[in-house]
Amino acid sequence: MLLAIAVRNLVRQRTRALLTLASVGIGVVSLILAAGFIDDILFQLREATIHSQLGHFEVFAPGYVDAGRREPLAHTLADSRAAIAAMRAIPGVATVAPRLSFSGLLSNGRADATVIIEGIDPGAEAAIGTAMTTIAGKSLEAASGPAVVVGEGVARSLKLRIGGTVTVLASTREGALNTMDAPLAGIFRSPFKDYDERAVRIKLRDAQDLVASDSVNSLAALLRPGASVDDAVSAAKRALPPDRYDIRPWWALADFYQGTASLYRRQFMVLLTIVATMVLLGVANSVNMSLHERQAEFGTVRALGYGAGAVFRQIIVESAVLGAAAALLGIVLGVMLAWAISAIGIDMPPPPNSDIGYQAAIRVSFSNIALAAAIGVFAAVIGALLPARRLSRMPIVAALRHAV
Amino acid sequence: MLIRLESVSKTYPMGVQTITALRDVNLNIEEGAFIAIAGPSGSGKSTLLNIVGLIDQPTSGRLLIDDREVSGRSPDDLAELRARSIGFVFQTFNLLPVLTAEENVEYPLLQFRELKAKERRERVAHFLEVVKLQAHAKHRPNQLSGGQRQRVAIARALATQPRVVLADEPTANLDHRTGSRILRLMRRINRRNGTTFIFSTHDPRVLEIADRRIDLDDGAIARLGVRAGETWSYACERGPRDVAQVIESK
Repeated sequence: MLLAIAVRNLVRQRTRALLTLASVGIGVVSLILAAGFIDDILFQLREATIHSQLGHFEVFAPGYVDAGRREPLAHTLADSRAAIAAMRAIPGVATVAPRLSFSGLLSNGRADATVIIEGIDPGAEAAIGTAMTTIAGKSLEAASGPAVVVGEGVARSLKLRIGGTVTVLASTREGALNTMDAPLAGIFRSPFKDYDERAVRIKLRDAQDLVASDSVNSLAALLRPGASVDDAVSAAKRALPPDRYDIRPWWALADFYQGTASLYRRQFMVLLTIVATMVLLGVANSVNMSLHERQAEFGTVRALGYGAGAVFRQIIVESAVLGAAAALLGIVLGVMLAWAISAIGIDMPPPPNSDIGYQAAIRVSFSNIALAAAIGVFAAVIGALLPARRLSRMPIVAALRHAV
Repeated sequence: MLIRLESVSKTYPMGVQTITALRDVNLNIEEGAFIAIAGPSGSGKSTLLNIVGLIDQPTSGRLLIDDREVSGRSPDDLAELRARSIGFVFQTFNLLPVLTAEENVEYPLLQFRELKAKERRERVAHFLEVVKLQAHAKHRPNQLSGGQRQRVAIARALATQPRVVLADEPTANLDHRTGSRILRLMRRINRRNGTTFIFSTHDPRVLEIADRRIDLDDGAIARLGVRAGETWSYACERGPRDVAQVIESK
């Protein structure tokens, strides 16, 4: 009967209940939209990170991540062919891309620039790098023979033209200077501006010839859709001995993503606190007014033999029912709005460290819906706690005095 | 003795002043009595009823029910005692507006875990029959007349089978005819079941059917009357000043 009375009281005090319903419902809708928007931003950043540089996980020679960027040729994988075979055998792995990266110079004959030269397998890299676009010329995969593709920033700083010959200079491990002349096949743009300002890509074989090495210093793995990164990393760790291979998931290598995600999560927490506080105050105010009108009713209930606890429970159950109804309403409205906004799309300016704007959406996820609903119900219940406590402890005679 | 008050006083703070609502009240109430508490407004009738009904605490003195002291008991103990021993009939009926007549009668019974749902329904039906409201069992308070609401309140007060029913001005909000019917109904229940009824009232009709009366004046018992046929035989419990009053009345 407690629940029936709660529901009937809410129906009876329709206007008051609708006000509370709106206050909690709007809170739930805003949380679903805000959380979904942030999720989409992070999802797109994650996809851009994975599909431009990192893949889902990478395998390095021990020490490469911490010190190898200064001496990349001293930290190459011992047996890359065996490692590639072992990685391809891991369930969920779609592509393995070997890379040999080192610093060098790129010259146009008149000027040169310090660059990061990446020797890549164009076919494997095309599968991983779906977030990279060729903005002029063609991709390395489409080029026959030795060729060079450069990031947009490199092309701009050296005023490079498609088809023109460029010279790539690098030191071998032994210290000898070596050069490679090749036509500029294409210019690419990735989601990360600083990468585009220093990246030069050539075919892996050409890179190995340039530095007189037949090895690679990293293997990037791309997983099939739905495959678990954690599972694949665990399988890779089992398959490749840790003393010879350092295996890292993409997020352990994505400092920019981590920083951005942390910033957005904090912003969301602040928003969540603000929304929860607003809902709480709204509910407390509405419950207070409603209970003030019903003091005599609760005085009667206690005169009939019910204790203060029963009155307290009654008020809390009413608020919880109202919070649950509002959360349900908020979920329906929030999801519908999220779908509608996503269908239209939100035009976003280029994020920091990027020249590419994008279209954001509102991602609808169970965890966000559950969180928003829980906050709604929680705020409704918390908002009722103080009024419920005050009223349940009110002297019965004082409460009955409010009877009309 | 069902209820005994020994030197009960009640004071209220009001701003910097202290208002004395009851002063040094001594009273014995026997089981099965039909008692009217009379007196002018502010004489302490409602306060006395509230203290006997365990919804207010005396400032000093002792209240005993079945010779057991109840002063100082915990709020939960008092609630339990109210649930099982005391029924209330309010001047403003105080029915729960969202419940039907039968649900209002059933509401206090829900506290009794030992009462099965079937027994509960039977008891509700019985008391609705006693107050002749079976036909209105499914009606909500706003669909009932004042008299019908008061009858629902009486059925609710009786449903727990209390030892004593306290009625605060039960006829004040009813028309003359309905008020008389309600009083006759309560008198009948008193005679049939032996339920003790205590009224606070201004209504002379209540005094006509009561078999004892307690006249309060300025928070003190001015006189106690026992019905003697059509008149009252007064006894005094207040000392020399009251004796004079009693004699004068006679």
